[in-house]
Amino acid sequence: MNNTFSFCLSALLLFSGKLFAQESTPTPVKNIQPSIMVIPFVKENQDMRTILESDINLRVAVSKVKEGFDNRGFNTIDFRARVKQLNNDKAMELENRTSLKQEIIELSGADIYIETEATINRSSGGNSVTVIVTAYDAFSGFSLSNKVKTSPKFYSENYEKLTEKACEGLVEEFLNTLQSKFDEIVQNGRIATMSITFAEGSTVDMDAEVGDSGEILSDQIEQWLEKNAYKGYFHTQGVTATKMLVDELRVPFKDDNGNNYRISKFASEFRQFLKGLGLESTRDIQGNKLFITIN
Amino acid sequence: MKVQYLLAAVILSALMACNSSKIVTGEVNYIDSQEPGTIQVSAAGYGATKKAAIENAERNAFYNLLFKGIPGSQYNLPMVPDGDKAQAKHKRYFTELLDEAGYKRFMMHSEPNSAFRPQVRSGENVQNYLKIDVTSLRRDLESHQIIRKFGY
Repeated sequence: MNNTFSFCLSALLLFSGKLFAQESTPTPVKNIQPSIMVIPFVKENQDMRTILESDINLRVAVSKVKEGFDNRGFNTIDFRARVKQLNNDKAMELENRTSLKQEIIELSGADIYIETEATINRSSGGNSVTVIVTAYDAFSGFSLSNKVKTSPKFYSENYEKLTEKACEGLVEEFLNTLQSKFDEIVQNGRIATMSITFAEGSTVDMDAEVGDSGEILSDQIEQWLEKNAYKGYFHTQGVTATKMLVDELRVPFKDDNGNNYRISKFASEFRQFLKGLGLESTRDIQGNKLFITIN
Repeated sequence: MKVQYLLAAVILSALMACNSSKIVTGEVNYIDSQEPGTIQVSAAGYGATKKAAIENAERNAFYNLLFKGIPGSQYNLPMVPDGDKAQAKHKRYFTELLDEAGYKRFMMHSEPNSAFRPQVRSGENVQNYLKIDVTSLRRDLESHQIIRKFGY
């Protein structure tokens, strides 16, 4: 009787322990995934949408790249749909088409954009198509993955099929390289950029001695970045009296609590640092691009 | 004395036969990948018997695909980045996959493309043609959290 009671009690305790253990297990935070948009490659002064709509081979190549992402269970932003969604008519009126491309990328909210190009090669030995795909980080401009492949030569005018042939294996290899870059980002932190400028009428500049240390502002900012950039990694593109541009700044992927790290947190910490030096500032954030204006 | 030598030789060869399936070499050559999500390779196999040599070739092909990548193919990067760490962390999974022939689930075709040559000591004993379902292999690795799904 006693044994039965002890057994039941132990089982109950074990079960309740399991229940509590389950309750206390933290739910893993889902990583925020980058948004990716596949766009056609255009030369200067060319309009992306017109090029895409008039070139069937390019459309095949773009679709093949998108299909590769779909096969990996990853959704991409549809370029044409997004362009239509944007107030494109107004954008089309812009004379500078290069800025239009930049505008579409920025307004799309894509973190990564993939330029796709398909070129027909005609020769007496047969025809082929060369496909080039390049992935860029939309904020830093870093190239993440590049692949080129030319289809075998055929005596054929069916360039759509040749484009498909060129894409065979290319997309898989391209995605594998891109994934290895993602792995590197998870390991070494996300890439962000930071631009520090001064408001009109500001009484300080980068060469001003601020705070108690007597060191100039740019030196103090760099020292702060050394301590606060993820694994101390940052790269300064240039410093002038009125501007500091950090073109690569690594921020952690997750915070100490295991939540996704927000760039706004980094901005907030940086502003606190400036406040400690007696400087007021404002900030703007666009994706992983951080703009600090010191008043 | 003679019996002892014979016994030692038998034990030694038995041990070698057991171990041969674990010999890893880079002798895995890309052939083609006509169908999306698959790869065809030719791998060298070592073993005292034909069966052992073929199994070694199969294991070798999967080992290279997982941890080294197959040069010349779209899988030239290893499927499992940081292989040593992953093997230590997921020992059970890789033991089942590689040592207990779990890889056969992802093998679409396996056929020797050379005659078995047991007498060869320096070179491989067999060359084996293999067709591997890489998409399923990747999904399996993802579902067991050996590698991350595409993205961050």
